[in-house]
Order: sequence, then C-alpha cells, then structure tokens
Amino acid sequence: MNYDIHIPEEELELIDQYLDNNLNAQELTALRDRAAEPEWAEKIAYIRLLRTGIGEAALRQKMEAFHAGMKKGTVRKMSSLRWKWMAAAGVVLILGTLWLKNIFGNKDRQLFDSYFIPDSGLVVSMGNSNNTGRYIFNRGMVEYKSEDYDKALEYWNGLTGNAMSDTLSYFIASALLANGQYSEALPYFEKVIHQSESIFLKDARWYAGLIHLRKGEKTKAKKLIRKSGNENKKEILQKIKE
Amino acid sequence: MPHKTKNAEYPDEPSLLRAMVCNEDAALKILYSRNYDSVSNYIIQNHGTISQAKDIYQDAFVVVWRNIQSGRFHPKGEKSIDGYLVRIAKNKWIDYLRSPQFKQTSPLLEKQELEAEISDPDDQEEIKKIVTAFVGLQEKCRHLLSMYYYDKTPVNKIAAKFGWTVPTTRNNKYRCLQKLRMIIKNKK
Repeated sequence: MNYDIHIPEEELELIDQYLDNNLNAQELTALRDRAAEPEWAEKIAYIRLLRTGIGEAALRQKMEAFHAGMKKGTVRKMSSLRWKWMAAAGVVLILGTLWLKNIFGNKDRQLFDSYFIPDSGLVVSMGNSNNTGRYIFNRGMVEYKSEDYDKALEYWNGLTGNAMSDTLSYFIASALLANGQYSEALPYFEKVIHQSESIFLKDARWYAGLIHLRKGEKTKAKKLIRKSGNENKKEILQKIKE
Repeated sequence: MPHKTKNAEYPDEPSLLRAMVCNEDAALKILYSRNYDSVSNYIIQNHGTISQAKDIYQDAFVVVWRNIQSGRFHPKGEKSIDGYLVRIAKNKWIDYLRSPQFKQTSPLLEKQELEAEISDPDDQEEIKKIVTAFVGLQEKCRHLLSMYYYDKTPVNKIAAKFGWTVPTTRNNKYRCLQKLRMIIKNKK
C-alpha cells in the first residue's frame, strides 16, 4: 500500500460518497471514468481499506461490550406498549411456572451448596525450578490455595501453548467452579473425564455431576456422581431421588 | 442512509443480515451471543482455553462481518449465517492447532469445507495495521470516524452532536483520517 498517496479533502469526500452509494447517476459516471486511471483506482482502494479497518476497530470495541453483557446475562427490554401488555398478560403464567421451577431449582442448588467443597489443591514448593511451566503452575497453585481464583487462572491460562495436561485442566476447572463460573468449568472437567487414566478422573466426575445438578440436569448429574469416588455420593444420590 | 433500530426483532435470516449490513448493535449482538457457547465448548474440548476461545471467536466474527459488509456472504438456507460463523471459528482453531506455534497435529479434527474467508492476505495485514493505529488516535477522532464509517451516521447529525457546522465536520473527518494515515505510516 502506498502510504504517501496524496488525497485532498474534496477527493476523500467524493470517494466516501461513492462508497456510500450516495452519488447521482451523473456523478457516478464521472467517477467511474476517473477510476479507470490507476492513480484514482489506487485512491479508491486505499480509502476502502481504511474504512474497513476503521469499521473493524469499532466492531472489536463493540464485541467487548457484547461479551461483557453476555457474561452478566442481559435482559431484553420490550420495545413497545403492545409488547408490554402482552408481557403483562403472560406474567401470571410465567410466575406460576417460575414458582414451580424455583421449588425444584432451589432444591438442586441447595444440594449443590451443601455438598460443594472446592478441591484443596496440591502441595507445592516454590523453590528453584528450571522448568518455567512448572514454576508458573505452582505460582497459580499458591494463589488457588489462597482462594484468589482469578489470579490462579491468570497464571494457568498462560500455560496453554502446548497440549493441556489433565492436572492443568482439572485445576482450571476447579478454580472456575470455586469462582462460581459453573458453565465455564464444565468443559474442563469433561476434558479430564475423557482421559480414563487421569488420577483426577473420579473427582472430575464428582464436580461435573454437581454442576449438572445445579443446572437441574439430574440424569446427567446422577450418572456422573454414581461413577465418582466421593464418599458422599450415596447420600447425595438418595437426596436427589427424594 | 440506514437508521439504527434499538431492540429490533429479526424473525428471519434476511432481516438479520440486512440489520448486520447496517451494523445494528442488536443484530450483531444476537449473532454474537447465540453462537459463542458452541465455539467456546469446541475449543476448550480441543486443547484450548477460555481466552483463546474468545480471541478465535472474535476473529471469526470479524471475518463474517467483513464478508457480509462486502456482499461476499450468500446465505444458503435458514441459520446459514450461524453455521458459517461456527465453521470459520472451528477452522481457525484447527489452523492454530496445526501451526508451528502449537506444534501438534490433530488427526481427529478435520477442517470443514468452507467457502473460504475470501480475503486477500495482504489486505488482512493492512487492516490489522489500521486497527492497531486506530487505537492510537485521540478519543474525539475515534468517535468521529466510528460514527461516520461504522455507525453510518449522516454528517449533519454528527455535526449536531459535536456542535460543529457540516463543513467543519467534513474537515475534521479528513484531518482525523490523515492522522490515522500518519500513525500507520510511522509504524511501518
């Protein structure tokens, strides 16, 4: 790209109008004639590229906002009075449904709260280590054990240039779960569950089962909890049945 | 000039696409939100992290947006735009897994047939430079250029917002673009 190409203000205006489809037929024909000249073709191509880049930069800012909003869980506002009335008409039905769901949903969440204890983590030594990955993992573990799960995740998320070990997956999941990021934790536990040789297999099943329970997915929850090695599994399975 | 619609409903794909061409926030947000989980789960299940999932997804979203803006995306049936976005994201992730940066081959993951990203790699490099340079602009210039080129706000409305005349607004737009060009040139 020729960054030195001179484009006066009036030419920029003309090219913008052209790219916005705002020229009349006469202006359009005149511009197309000019665009046959290499210099003009280059100017138009350059302005088009700048516009795309500016648009992309603006979109990237928007995406950050979408992402943040998605995490918080946005509530869509009704756009018209009619919709408000329709919504109001459905309130009784919705409240009734929510009330029923709450009774059962709350029970599942209470069970989760009763049985969920974060994994206590691994014993680490912060002595000299030639292994950078091991050192960063241990730093994360120190934060994890101090219950600063965000900090722990910062360390561990930096360790993912290579195939992730079941240990790393398990503790990323554990930190996310302890942080209340249930949906985000689940795929990491599932990764561990797919590794049949993992020493964290049974614990991963237990925690994944608890997450499903919290989500009200009892069948999945029971299946996983049953296969876990947790000492409370019989008790919780009995309570899920009740 | 298109007008922005807040909380608009998009009953079908053509209406969603039309709204996306106009960069309507609500439409972009709907597409963004409803496909993120699917991509994120796929990446996390396949050696990735949450932050990598977000980066890959956003890069894929930009590609889809770019191809919609340029008219190069042609819908093929209901929800084809969702499928298109997910496929681009998955393919980007597979490319990453196969890259020397990751140093791993993933025989289980097959790249899906896709009507490509349809972009000149040279252009992509240039666009990357523009995006980076844009961040270095002053807030007022960023705002002005975004309003005109992204939000597609008419010049007279921008003038009213900033308390300028229309010719001053055009001149300021020109100056801001020149500043952007200067930043790109100096970083070359």
